[in-house]
Amino acid sequence: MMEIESLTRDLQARFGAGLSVETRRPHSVYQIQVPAFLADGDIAQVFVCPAPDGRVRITDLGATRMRLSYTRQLTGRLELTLEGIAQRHGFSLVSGEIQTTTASGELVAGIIGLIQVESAAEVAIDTAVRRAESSESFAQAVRESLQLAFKGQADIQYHLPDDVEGLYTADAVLRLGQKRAAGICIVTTDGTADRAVMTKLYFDARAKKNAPTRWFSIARNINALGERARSRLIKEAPVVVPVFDEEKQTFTDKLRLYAA
Amino acid sequence: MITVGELLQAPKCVHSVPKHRVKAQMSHLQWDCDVEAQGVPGRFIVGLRVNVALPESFSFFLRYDAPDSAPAVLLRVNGDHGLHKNPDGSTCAGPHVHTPTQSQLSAAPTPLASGPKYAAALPAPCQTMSAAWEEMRARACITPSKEVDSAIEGVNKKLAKLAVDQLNLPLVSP
Repeated sequence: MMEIESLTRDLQARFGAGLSVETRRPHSVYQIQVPAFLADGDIAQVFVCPAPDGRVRITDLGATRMRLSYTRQLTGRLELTLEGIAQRHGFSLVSGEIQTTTASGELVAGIIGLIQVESAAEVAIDTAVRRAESSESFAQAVRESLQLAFKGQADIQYHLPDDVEGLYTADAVLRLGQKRAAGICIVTTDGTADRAVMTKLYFDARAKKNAPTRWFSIARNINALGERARSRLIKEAPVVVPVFDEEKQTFTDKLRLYAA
Repeated sequence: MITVGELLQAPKCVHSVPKHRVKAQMSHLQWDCDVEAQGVPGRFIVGLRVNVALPESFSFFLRYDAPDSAPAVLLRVNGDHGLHKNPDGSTCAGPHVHTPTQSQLSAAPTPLASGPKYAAALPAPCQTMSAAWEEMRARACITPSKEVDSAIEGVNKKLAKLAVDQLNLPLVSP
């Protein structure tokens, strides 16, 4: 059972007299009102729930996701980003709540951690989602250019027929005349570079008819990749366009030469 | 440029579409509905969010989705989710309404804002979702709506069921 007065005293000793503890549900949910306020002026949502084993669960009771949902869709990408932010501060995202269970002696550190997660969430999620959307919209724009330039000679977002889920999808496969088909991968990050390598190796292992037997990559900026991701990519799918912005007017001509 | 004040003052009515349902999002319930405003570009949404563990912590908000920028919450009526602190240092506890200041009324909406930073305390009756909705309706020129009344009823039913089935917590009916 939580002694509210001693809890208040202990926390005020650390956070100052501005802190208060409110009983939201007797014996089960206490709101710790630390004078830390979010962007819209509302207090950071920190709740403490005593656990049967004497430890305490520190949680936002789902308030962070609820706030984010005012102006954002709760997509898988957003949830993953929020989970990442939570984990970096020692919390996990469970059933919509950012929470951790800890010894009562770690309560102060836990409260500070949760406030940091809530403060970081809005800004960090916008940045991460914008970055991911920017990455995908770049790839989409390049695919559209390939489709226009190689009308009738390109399969956009091609995967093998028995890969029904499309887990190994080439951004494009160029079939220029009688020559061997060429697989094209568009790369923006280490993740997409490694995915390109895996896709190429998957296709190679299956050696199917009509599948590409040569592979090339188009990089948004090869210098932005990590060393190992870059090396793997260069080895498996030579980067014929290393910095897209520098060749965006001419890259399809270049591809035509390489893939012919 | 359309200002926050113009957006709030534009007469609005809740779009009557029967398929809007209360969605369970694990730790909160949510319901959104389109709102029509003649002659205003973009769209308005009335949203309701209720925390499952603490149903008195709810938000009724009016969001504006501009045609060429990110959504922004123009007005938000909150139940009791703890203290609020205004930019001038004043605080309020209990139910409150996030409402634009005079200067914000003359400006364009702030993209991705979860609500204006300034909030004013509301009287105790605004602890209920119905009263909060009436408060928001009056401030944002929205006509009464059976859709919203049904949504509130739907939320209360879901909360009652959850309290009995899963949480075993005493239900504080908002």
